[in-house]
Amino acid sequence: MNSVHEGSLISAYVDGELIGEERHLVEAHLGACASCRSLEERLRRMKWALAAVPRRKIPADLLASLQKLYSPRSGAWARLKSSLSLPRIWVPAGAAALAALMLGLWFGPVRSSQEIPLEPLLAAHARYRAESWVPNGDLLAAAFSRAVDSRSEEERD
Amino acid sequence: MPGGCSIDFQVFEGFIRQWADKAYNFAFRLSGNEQDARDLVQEAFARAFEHRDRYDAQKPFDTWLNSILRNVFLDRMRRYEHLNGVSLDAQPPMEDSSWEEILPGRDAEPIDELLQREEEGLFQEALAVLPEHYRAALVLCDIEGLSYEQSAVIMGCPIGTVRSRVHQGRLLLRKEFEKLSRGAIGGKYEQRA
Repeated sequence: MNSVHEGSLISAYVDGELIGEERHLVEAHLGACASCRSLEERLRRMKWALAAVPRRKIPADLLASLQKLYSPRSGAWARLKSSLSLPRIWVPAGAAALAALMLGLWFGPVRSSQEIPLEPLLAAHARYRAESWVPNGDLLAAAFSRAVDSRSEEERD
Repeated sequence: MPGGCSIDFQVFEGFIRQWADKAYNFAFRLSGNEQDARDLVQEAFARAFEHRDRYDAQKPFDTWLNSILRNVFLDRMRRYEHLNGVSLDAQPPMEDSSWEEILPGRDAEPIDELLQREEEGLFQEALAVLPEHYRAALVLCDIEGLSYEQSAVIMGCPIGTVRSRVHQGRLLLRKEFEKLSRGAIGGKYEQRA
């Protein structure tokens, strides 16, 4: 426990915040110590003076604007703000949309400029057809083979 | 959420009617000027409304509102300090400073006299010099008349800390007030001469 001389106990006593043992301790000390009684008196006067400081009232225009903002009748803006902010989905949703856009911008041009070259595929397909033991007409990719053949003939012509 | 409740517009409008003056007075004493007090009150009500589902209806609304208001004030103070590289808080007093060193003798009671003469401007000036946590403790306990327990909820600290801050705050306020009032009285004499 703090020493009564330290002062905060006397402040608390003046504020009516002490009970039980602490209160008895301070009362006993004040009965015996003139300087602490003097402090108690000064703190009490100061407390009364502070309690008498005039209270500021909210300016009428500010009160009116607050009441209008949160009025059940004309609180449309506040309701809108509230409905936007409460679910708190707009920030992550916006971030996801931005990320998707950035990915699109990043990968989009790369994919178009790096199209898969056709020649190695055609060469692989021709090798597969030549080396396969299955008759060409029965190959799973027979339709593709025919399309490739006809395109090759057209290009030669 | 345990204790949480849903406040509709009608209830919230009632809270504004009931607690706006108190919130404004707290804001004014914390910030020291009307414009900041207006901003603080508006933002505190906006945040209270936005987070109204967190309000515990078992507890007084004004305590919750004023704790929001103080947090808004602290946020702004920190932002200002960060942006400007300054500290708005004065140096706190030494913990072991004796009240006898700070309080003047029995004959001088300028704070009581000046307050009785409605020297509110000087009082506000002296209050503004105090570090924020002493200022808040004094405004809540001495001006608003709240208990240490209620003040502790608003300030987010233990009751023992409130007790210490109230006491140190009173000593500091008295010191600042006397410093200012000496200057003010000196100034008046100079003007007359």
